[in-house]
Amino acid sequence: MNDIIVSDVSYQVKDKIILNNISFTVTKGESFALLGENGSGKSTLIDVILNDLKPSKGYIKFFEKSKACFDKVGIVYDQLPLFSMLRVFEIIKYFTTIRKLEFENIKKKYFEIFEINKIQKSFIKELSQGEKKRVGILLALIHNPDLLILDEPFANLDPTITERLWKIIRNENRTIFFTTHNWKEAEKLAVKIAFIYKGKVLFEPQSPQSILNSLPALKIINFPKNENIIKLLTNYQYYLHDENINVFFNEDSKLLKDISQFTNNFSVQEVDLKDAYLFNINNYKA
Amino acid sequence: MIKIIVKSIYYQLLISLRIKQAVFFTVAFPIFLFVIFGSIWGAQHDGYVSFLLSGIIGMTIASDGLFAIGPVIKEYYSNGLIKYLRKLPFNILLHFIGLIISRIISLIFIVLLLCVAAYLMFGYIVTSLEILNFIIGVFVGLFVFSFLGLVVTFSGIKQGADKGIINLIYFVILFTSNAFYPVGEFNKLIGYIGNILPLNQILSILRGDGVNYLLGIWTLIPMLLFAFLFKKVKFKR
Amino acid sequence: MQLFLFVIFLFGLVFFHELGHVVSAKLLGLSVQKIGFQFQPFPHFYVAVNWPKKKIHKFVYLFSGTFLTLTLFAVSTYNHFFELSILYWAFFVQFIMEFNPFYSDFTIAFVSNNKLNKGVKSYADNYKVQFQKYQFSAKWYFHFIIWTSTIILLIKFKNQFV
Repeated sequence: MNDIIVSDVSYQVKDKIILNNISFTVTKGESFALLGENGSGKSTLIDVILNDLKPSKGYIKFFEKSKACFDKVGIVYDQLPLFSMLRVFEIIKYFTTIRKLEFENIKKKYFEIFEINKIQKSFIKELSQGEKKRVGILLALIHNPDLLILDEPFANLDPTITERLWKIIRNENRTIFFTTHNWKEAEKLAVKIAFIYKGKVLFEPQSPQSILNSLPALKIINFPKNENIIKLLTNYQYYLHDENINVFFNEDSKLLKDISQFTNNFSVQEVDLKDAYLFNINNYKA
Repeated sequence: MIKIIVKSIYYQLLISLRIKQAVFFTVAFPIFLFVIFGSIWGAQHDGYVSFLLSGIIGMTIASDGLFAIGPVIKEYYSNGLIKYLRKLPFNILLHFIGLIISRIISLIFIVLLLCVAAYLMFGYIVTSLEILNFIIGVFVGLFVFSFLGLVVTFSGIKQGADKGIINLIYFVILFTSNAFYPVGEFNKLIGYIGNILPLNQILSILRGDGVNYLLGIWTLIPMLLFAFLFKKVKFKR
Repeated sequence: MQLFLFVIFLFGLVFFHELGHVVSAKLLGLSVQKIGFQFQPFPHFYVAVNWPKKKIHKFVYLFSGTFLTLTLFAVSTYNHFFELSILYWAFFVQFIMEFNPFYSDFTIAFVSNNKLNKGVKSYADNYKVQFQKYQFSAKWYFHFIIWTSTIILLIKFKNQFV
């Protein structure tokens, strides 16, 4: 079953196209990451998926039903809106009442893992961004949803706590759809990834490994832009980013020798999702 | 459903008690004005204490309606709380019902405090009919001024500027009204303006002087305006 | 005429209040930097001195203005305010300003410390930070109630004084 179906979704404000014909599906049990730089349309797409914005075209389906129902969905927004003058435990109590749950059970199950005990008496306005995120993720999980939709869920969180929370989130084969601009996080946590750039999904969502395998090579040389070196790159695939050239190469010693004639300021790395994204958007621009 | 409303009322009251400035202007300041003005003019003029008591209650209802409902709900929209609460398995109206009831409870508490102050300071005993008029005034007044506040905050004015406009509206309504003294006896034009504006209509209810058609207009028009503005409002991401 | 007299008396009381600060500053060896007028937070005269290092000096300096006002009030009461009820009202307004819990020598005395808070550049900013914590606290409400009671007493017992 497809827990989320996004079909030909576009969103336009006056003459500006924010989202352009986006289609993908998120299958049950998948962890699906939507990756893109700031301003690419990630949060707008989340808003459209969550019915906060009406698409100019296309439709969204949850659990293959046309009517949106969020009873079995847990949501974490990027900027978590909560009552700033309530304490953490009061917010959680209020939400457990709304969801007809027992606060004591939630406390026993989640407070320690989410490290809520230390902050339970703090006011929401006193919390750091990371602490607010932890509270937000907890509130999204308390009713044991089948599907989680998370907008930048691990931003401002410690890597150790991210790992711990991910284990709980991923529990019971839950479907997870999340946005991030943390490439490492997406590569580690997602089973499927979609790149979004200027409101468009760049290609059919795939696994991280499959995306990396589709690149011209598994290693990349990075060095500052140099016109003399660019002339040497006719047989190589590369992309430009922040005045740096990134060339894909397969342990070709000749290329390294040629480059070192012009500069010693270069590094060799394994390719990652960031390279895949930047390479694809360079091609997109071309 | 009842549990959610009760919890909503409880937490809204808790929030308002934690905003120290709000507590001062809702509770302490009305009592302060009442005892000071009552002390200055109460002894000289028969009936001034009961006149002032209803006036201060009217002033408090107006300020609560204008400042405690509209801007709060607008803030809910601006910071994304409404869209967040909408995803929960409950009717979001229950939350707002809790907000409104919490304001009513708070206002009735202040009415009772003022009645106690009237007895302790001036030996004035409020009758049960007056209490009934006060309670009706609280309900009607909160309704009218809440929608007035909502109209201003949702009218598309820049955030921050709307607070200034609500302040201006509040002070114009207050100082043209018969809250502290019968304004019309000092200046006919100001008295006439005050009679058109909504606070004098609410004061009529609080003083048991009946209502006129203007109250109907002040009840209906802000409500309709708000419904229209609400559909048009767009919040920037 | 009454208004003119009221203004004269009020300015006189303000003058003596500030004189109290100046005299106590001289006696305590504090150098007077400036005697001025400002509009924030409300229009008022002030005496600026090098801030006293000892707490007792701080309290003596701050309360000296009110001490002089109270002395004048006692003298006026003894003389039934020289049969001038307008003088009584001038004192009334002066007491409202001197004892108010929003900005007065009393709030400065309660709120200010000798040391500056961390991250605060001046005593004026220090006062702002500390006053925000003080305002609407239990101590502040106690001050507010005393101030309100003073006003009510002055209204109720006017006929006994004048």
